[in-house]
Amino acid sequence: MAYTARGMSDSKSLIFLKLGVLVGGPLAIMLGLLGVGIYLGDAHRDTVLQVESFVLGREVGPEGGDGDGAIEPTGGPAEIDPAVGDAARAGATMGGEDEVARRDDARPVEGTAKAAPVNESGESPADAAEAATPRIGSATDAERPATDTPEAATAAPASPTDGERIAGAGIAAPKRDPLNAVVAPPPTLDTSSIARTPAIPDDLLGAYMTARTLKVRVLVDASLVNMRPDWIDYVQRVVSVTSANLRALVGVELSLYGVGRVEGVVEAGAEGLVSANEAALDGAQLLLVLTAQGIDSAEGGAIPGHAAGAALVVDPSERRLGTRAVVVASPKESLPHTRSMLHEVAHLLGAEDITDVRDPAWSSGTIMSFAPQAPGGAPSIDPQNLRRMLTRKSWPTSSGAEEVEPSHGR
Amino acid sequence: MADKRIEKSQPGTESGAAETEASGRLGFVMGWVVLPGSVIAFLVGLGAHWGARHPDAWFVDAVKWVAERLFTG
Repeated sequence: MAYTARGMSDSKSLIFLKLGVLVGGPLAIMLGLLGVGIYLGDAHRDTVLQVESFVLGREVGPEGGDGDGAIEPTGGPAEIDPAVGDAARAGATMGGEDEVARRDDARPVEGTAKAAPVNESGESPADAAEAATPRIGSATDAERPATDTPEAATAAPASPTDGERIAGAGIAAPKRDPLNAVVAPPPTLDTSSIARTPAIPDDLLGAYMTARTLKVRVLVDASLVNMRPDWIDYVQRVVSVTSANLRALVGVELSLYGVGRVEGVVEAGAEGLVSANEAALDGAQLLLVLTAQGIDSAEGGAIPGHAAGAALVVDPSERRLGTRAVVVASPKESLPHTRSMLHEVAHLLGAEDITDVRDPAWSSGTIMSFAPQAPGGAPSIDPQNLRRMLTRKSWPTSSGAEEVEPSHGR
Repeated sequence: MADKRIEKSQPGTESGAAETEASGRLGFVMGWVVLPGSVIAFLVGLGAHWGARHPDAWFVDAVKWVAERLFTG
């Protein structure tokens, strides 16, 4: 048998062609069918989720039930450092509070900012700061006086291991000696501060049971770095506790995707959203800017006793979740940013403020209420906002173009 | 006994032909309807599950992009 070179080439081409058809054809059909399914699943998400929930037959415990599923932390360690907790309970005041109290331009923009409730302090900010500031943070910074100025933060030495850095060269955390660092006990979760599973309406069971994890990028400003030299650990704890609460309330978890810093001090309220808007998501789905600032209610908030965070919300017609928010501190809480973060992420998920004292939810302890609340304790969510959040839970996050100023006072 | 066995397996007989026809029909249904249908249902169902549970995933974006190109010109 003698084959010519041309014949050999043709024969090989034919073999490869057959192989391509035999392998590629079924593969293309499989991918096509998967694609059809993905398209249908995305277009009819609620139906699919309800069917899955029905088929799986999983039930959600009612309010006040065992709530076991609600207290599992999903992120990193969430234990509160006893020293920090004591300091905070004693009335720890964040750097920058006095400066903010003097400001008269800190009023949130109507309709854009979503204020986070902060517990009212019984003592004056100056007294609280004097009493508690030296004890905040790790033992290594006990002798370093807290300051309100970004210049002071600028002077602090930088640590090459303290996370990413997005802007500016002047903000840094004090360097810690790893050899002399205090070894903390294994972290545990303070379950008393974790929400219990709320009563879920039947039509929202599917949405509740569907786990959703949102990747979060957290940026801290100079005032927070100044307040918490262990800001990376602190951010991990805050996100972890917030995630555990969100998981219990609406089945959403937060996954800490990145931690970084922004230059200078970020304003509380709507003005801080400028900083949040300028920063890139860098692959995350949410971007939260943490500041130790807070708006004094007498200056900027509509309701006395509340500092304000802010969230860029998306009009519901866009069917997208908001992505950016500014989180402020609640000085009386053991983890001062947890409640504000919970409130702002709830805004991003579609929840709305409760500012009307006649609203039954006003005094229900919901995270969306502006009513003064005692520090500590487990957060909860009111039925209306629970429905809003679960309805929007499966929506994709905004690409940024849809973020608009709500005109109807959401 | 031996005769019966032979009779059952004898394709030329009347009952053997009926059995062959029945098994042929069953084989046709299984091979051309049930099995492919199950595979197709599994693949579409898996895709629907992914599409519903991972709205932010890249493959969902890719499918939506392709669908937009195909159906909106």
